[in-house]
This record gives sequence, structure tokens and C-alpha cells, in this order.
Amino acid sequence: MSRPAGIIDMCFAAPAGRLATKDVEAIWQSASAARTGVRERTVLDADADVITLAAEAGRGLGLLPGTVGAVFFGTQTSPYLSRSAAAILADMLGLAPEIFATDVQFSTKSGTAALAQAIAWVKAGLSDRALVIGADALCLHAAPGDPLEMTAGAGAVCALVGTGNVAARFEALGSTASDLADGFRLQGDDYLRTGGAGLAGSGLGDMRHMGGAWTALGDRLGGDARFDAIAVQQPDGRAAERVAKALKIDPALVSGGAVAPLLGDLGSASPLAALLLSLEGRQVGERVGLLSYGAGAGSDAMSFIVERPLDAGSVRRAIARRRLMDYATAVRREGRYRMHQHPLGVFE
Amino acid sequence: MTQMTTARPVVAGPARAWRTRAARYALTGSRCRQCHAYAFPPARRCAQCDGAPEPHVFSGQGRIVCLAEDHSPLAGHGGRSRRPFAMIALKEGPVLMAEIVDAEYEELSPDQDVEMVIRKWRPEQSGLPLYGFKFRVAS
Repeated sequence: MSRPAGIIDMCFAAPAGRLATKDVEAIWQSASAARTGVRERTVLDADADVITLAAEAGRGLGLLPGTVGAVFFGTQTSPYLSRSAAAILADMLGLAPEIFATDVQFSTKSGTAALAQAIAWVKAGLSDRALVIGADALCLHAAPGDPLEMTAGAGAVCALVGTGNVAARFEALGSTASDLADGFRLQGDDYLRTGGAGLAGSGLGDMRHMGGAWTALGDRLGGDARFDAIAVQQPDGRAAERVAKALKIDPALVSGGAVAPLLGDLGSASPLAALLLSLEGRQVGERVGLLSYGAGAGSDAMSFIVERPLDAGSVRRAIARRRLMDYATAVRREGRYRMHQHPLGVFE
Repeated sequence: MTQMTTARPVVAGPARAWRTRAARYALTGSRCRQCHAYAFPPARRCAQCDGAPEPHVFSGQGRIVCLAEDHSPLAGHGGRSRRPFAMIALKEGPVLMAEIVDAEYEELSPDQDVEMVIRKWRPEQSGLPLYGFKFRVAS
């Protein structure tokens, strides 16, 4: 019999830079900013990446050396194609070298995929605690003029998973995955692409996979399972509402985890940030759901029982640490023009 | 086959980068076993009593002592023409110099509380980013 496990603590980090979606609309006139439901999206600094964001979130957990047995780093925007971001992070957080570390990748559900693996890891008894990261910097991989440029932001969530002193006890998992080219980035290509309106807008990807995962979760929990809050993937500010409508979920249950309207699409960090917000102020015994989606395509649905509410102060602090900038500054900060790596006359 | 050449000077070899990572990632300095004096970067012998120090991880909390502005554009910093730097007194005592992020020079002043973050410093010799401590105004 496997051991009960769950989330002990969570911490969130996002860049301070903000770009108003209406500024992107004014430059490219290619899509409607209002339709995205995103007012501002985060802008990544030139000296930051998903590893520095994850390190910021991880430092917020105050981990002690030797207390964590594994790191599962979920991201689709690691700066490295082969080097492990998890190993670098383990060293940054003082957890190396006696630790299992691996990167996990499944588009924007990389974070929940890492969470599922970490829960399985601790339930199997391979270690008492594991660290999960869901982090993405989609803003670095949004093509100029692409609708994604309006919403693509950056953020990271670190979650400590374990078997003792849990705040949210893991209950069940339902997952779906199938071959569907509704979003991808090819090797050598800097930019994420969608499969076009035929695939991305048809619901064959997101609604079908999320619906399947949610039904599978419901079957595992039994027919009468009721949720008190549900954290949903937010590629834009209206996605959670659309999912609730498609899956016949009360929209009030998904509204508490809204992060996209003020921070944009946080990719793999999005559902976990929503989960952290949804676990704040909960009563003991309440049930909180988690529903992610990754293009390509797949979805994870999980349920947790609250044993102690979490503090989502790290999300509020990140939202408050806001520095609005214009489009030109954002493009320069994110380095989205191909430039000389080492121009003459620049100090190193 | 022609080898690619760049105008990149040697800034830090991989061995030096590896050796200094504990100080860059976690502000690991030292604390004297005898007189408990702190030091950053880590000292081989205590400057106060010549005692033997042990490694100590600093909290990352500190206060700005004084400020300066660097106007030399550095590779990998998004073309920023100027960046604020500060002498920072750590809560435990040692003073170090670091870049202040998420703020312009005009918004900063001595005695402000700051906290450590990890960011990219500059590219290593191999092109990999060298990560290290910077500071930002405490939230």
C-alpha cells in the first residue's frame, strides 16, 4: 500500500516587467487585445530565465540541505536543450549533490506532469520529500506579430511535495494524451507555433483532452465528488471561463485562481499558480481540483483534500512588484531581435 | 573547415565558475569558529583572530550603504545603457557590492532594505550564462 502524500508548501515568482496588451495591438493590429482577457503580461528581464525564476520561487520555500530527495523541473522553455535545469536549480537551492534531479517536458502541462511524478515518487517511498517546479518563459518564444505575443508571459511555481505535514493531500489523478499538432516548437525554431484555427480553435485539443481527464478523475473519485475550488490552465484571461462552460463546472469555482488577466500566459506555472491561490483561505476537508492542458496534446486532472490552508502572499507580492514598460523596451529586454552575441565595444 | 572567431575575451574559465558557485548561488561565506566573525567572500583565516572559519550561508537580507551607476553596456543585459550597483551591508555584517535589479538608480537610496535574487551575471567563456546573486528592494 502506497503512503499518503501531498503538497506541503508552494511559492510563486514572476518578473516585475509588464507590457500592456493594447500596446502590442497598437503595433501589429493583428488581433484584439480585449478578446484575450489579458490586460498586461509579464516581461522577462535580459538577465533572467526559467532557472532564475524557479530559484526565486524555491528560495521562498526556505528549504534546508538534505531535506529533499528529488527535483522534478517542469518546463518547455529551458535555456538548455540537453543540460539539466533541475541540476542547476538543485545546486542554487543548496540541495545538491545527493539528490535525484530531472527535467520534465510536456508543453504547458510540464508543471502538473512534474507534480504527478513527484507525488508518485514520494508515495513509492523513494524519498520523503520532492521538489516540483512548473516554470515557463513563453514571452521569449512568441513571434513578433503573433497573437501569442500579447499574452505570453513568464512565471514559476515551486511546490514541496511530501508525506508528512501536508497542506493539500493528493487524492486522485486522471490524465489524457494523444497526438495532436495544435501547438509546437521545432528544434532550431525560436518561436512557438499553433496548429491554426482548425486545430487550436476547434476544441479537439484543449476541451477534448481536459474533458477526458476531468471525467477520468471523476470516475476515480466516484459519482458524488464535489469540488470547492478548481485551478485551471489559463493561456488567456478567458480560458478558465471557457473550460468551466464546456465541462459544465460552476464558473465561481474557477474564478478564485485567476492569474492570466494581470500576468499573462504563465505556461507550466499557470495551473500551479492557480492552485496556490485556490488553496488559500480554504477550510480543512474541502476538495480542490487542478486541471492543466499542454498542446500536443494532453491534460492532467488532480484532486486534493485541504488539511491546512496555504498562504498565497508570494502571488500577491509578484503582482504588486510591477514595472510597466513600452513595447520597444519589452522587445529589447527579452532580446527578441537576433543580435550579435558579443558586439565589439561592449564590456564583458 | 573555418573556425568561428568572436571578439569575446576570457571572463571566467569553467573551473573558476564551478569553484565559486556556492558563493554566487547562495551567498555562502564563512564564520569564524572562535570569534564568530562573518566574512564574505569566504575567508581562509579569520581577519579578526586568525581562527579557522567554517562555511556559512547568509540570509540574503541586507541594506543599501551607498549607490553608484554603471554606464558601461555589458553583454547579455538587453542593451541597458545604465544599471544601478550598490554596496550592501548584509544583515549578518559583511558588506558586498552587487547590482540592484527591478529598479532605476533614481528610485533607490541608502538605508533601503534589499533581498537577494539569482540572475545571470554574464556569459561564461563557453557561452553558458554565469548565474549569481543580485539584489532587489525587499518586498
